[in-house]
Amino acid sequence: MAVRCAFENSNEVGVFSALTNSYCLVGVGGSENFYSVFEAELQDHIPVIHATVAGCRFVGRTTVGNKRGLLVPTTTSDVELQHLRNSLPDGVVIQRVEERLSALGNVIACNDHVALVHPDIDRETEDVIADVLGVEVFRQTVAGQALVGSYSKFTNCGGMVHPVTTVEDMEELSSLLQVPLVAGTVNRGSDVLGGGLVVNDWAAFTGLDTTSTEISVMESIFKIGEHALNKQGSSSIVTNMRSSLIDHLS
Amino acid sequence: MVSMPKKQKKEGEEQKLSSARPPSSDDDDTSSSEDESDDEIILEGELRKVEDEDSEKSFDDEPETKRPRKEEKKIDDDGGNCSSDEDNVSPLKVEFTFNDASEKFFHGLKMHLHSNPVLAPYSSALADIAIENVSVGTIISTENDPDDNVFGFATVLNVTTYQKHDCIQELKAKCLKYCPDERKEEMKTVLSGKTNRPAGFLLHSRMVNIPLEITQALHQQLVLDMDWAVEHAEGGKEERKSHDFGVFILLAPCTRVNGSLIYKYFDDEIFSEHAEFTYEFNAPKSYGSEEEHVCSVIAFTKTGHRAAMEDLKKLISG
Repeated sequence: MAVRCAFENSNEVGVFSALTNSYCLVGVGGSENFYSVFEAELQDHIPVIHATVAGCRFVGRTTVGNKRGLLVPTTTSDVELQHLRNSLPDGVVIQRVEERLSALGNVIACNDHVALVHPDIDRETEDVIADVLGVEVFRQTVAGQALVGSYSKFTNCGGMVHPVTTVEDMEELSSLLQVPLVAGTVNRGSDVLGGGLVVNDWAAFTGLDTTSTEISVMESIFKIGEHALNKQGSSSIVTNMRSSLIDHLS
Repeated sequence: MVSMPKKQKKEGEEQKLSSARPPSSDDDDTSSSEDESDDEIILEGELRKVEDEDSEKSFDDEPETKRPRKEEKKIDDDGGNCSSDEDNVSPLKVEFTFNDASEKFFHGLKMHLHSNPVLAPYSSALADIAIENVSVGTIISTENDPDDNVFGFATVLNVTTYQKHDCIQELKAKCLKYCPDERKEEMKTVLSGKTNRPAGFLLHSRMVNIPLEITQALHQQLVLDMDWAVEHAEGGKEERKSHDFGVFILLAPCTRVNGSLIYKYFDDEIFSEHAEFTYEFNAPKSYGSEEEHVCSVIAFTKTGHRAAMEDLKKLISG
């Protein structure tokens, strides 16, 4: 189910939060409305953790992770690191990464199997990613943009890329990532998907300005909500609603 | 609601103003320019009215134009240290266009509305209403701008036309909540829309370094818009009447420094001088800003507005 929310009047929910299949990080806010939206959806399944990185609330852009691990930049203080270690589930490994490009959320996009990274990232960082997150790492750009974490967002079920990505690029990426991809926008036409959207295999959160068209594209590509796959592997719109939507003349 | 004739008139009246060289704080410039007043303002721009669309573009259309301009300002403001660099800095000519509100300006409008702490929660809704309110309202942009940057805007939203929108209801409630008791009845009447001439929320905002003549032109354009809409709005008599504003309510952002109120926009200060009454309330706190944000509610009549426009003209054009 895709939920619209806002962090202190800002639609950039992907900046202030990070969501994976095993945990969720939320930046510290003036009021706790944002946190409670996440809690309401996720509390029964995964821990929702308040966090800051280097004293800053934009945890979504400085950290990156999947169900196996979390990577944080060098600027993270020891106290913050300890807090994260204590709050994350036992199976999740947390590692501080020495990387010049410290906004890890902007330079790395990953799911539980594959990661796309900024072409200029260090060799050592690439190894850490492969090790801690347990993924295969590819150096790629998306629509000519090096900040793959900002301009693409993908989960184990599907992915969304920058709106001007060419079809050839999308096919190439799709074969690398082994998930279907769609070019889309969030927050009423914004192309910064990493900032406007957080998603895992069953839930998505996006800004208040996101139009219903954008939400339906999101729900269908990430297989969330009514578009979730049923037992036969096809979405409910194909099975239950088919007869009311399609009229046979013969 | 508004159709072709309005647009054509708009284009005829569109003023393309070349920017002035940004004000510099020191006087040892080599360029010859006219001093507008005793303080630092040095203007060497030219104001020209464009009758046709065939004007030559004298600048790069990309958004990058904003950044070089800002950098240029920095160089000038450095004072004596950079006097050798000043010979290499040439004024950047920017042509601003004054446009009707349209959907493409949504994000720019939202950004401006977001900067006002009182309006920030309703930024999207108000931006949508401002776009709907196409007969009265101007947006400053540049020509053929691929990003549709909004450098400034001004609009007046009728309190009754949009009363069904939550944001307008909440703004009205806020105004009434913090209104001093002696003015409460008056404010209630004004906001209810039962006055002879309708009341409107005057919303305006602009980027910090917009030249003064553009600011003046922005307000001037708003007056022209209202006058035109009263005569020619296509929606019928009701619509024309709804643009014949008698009272304006302006929610001006200010800060409180050492007990005194400092207005973010100097034109708001001028409006407050001609106001029927004003009152302040504390704006919601925003993260990271140490200054106390205050919202000053300024209520003024049409006469007050025109008088303030005269003052503004004198201040800017001398």
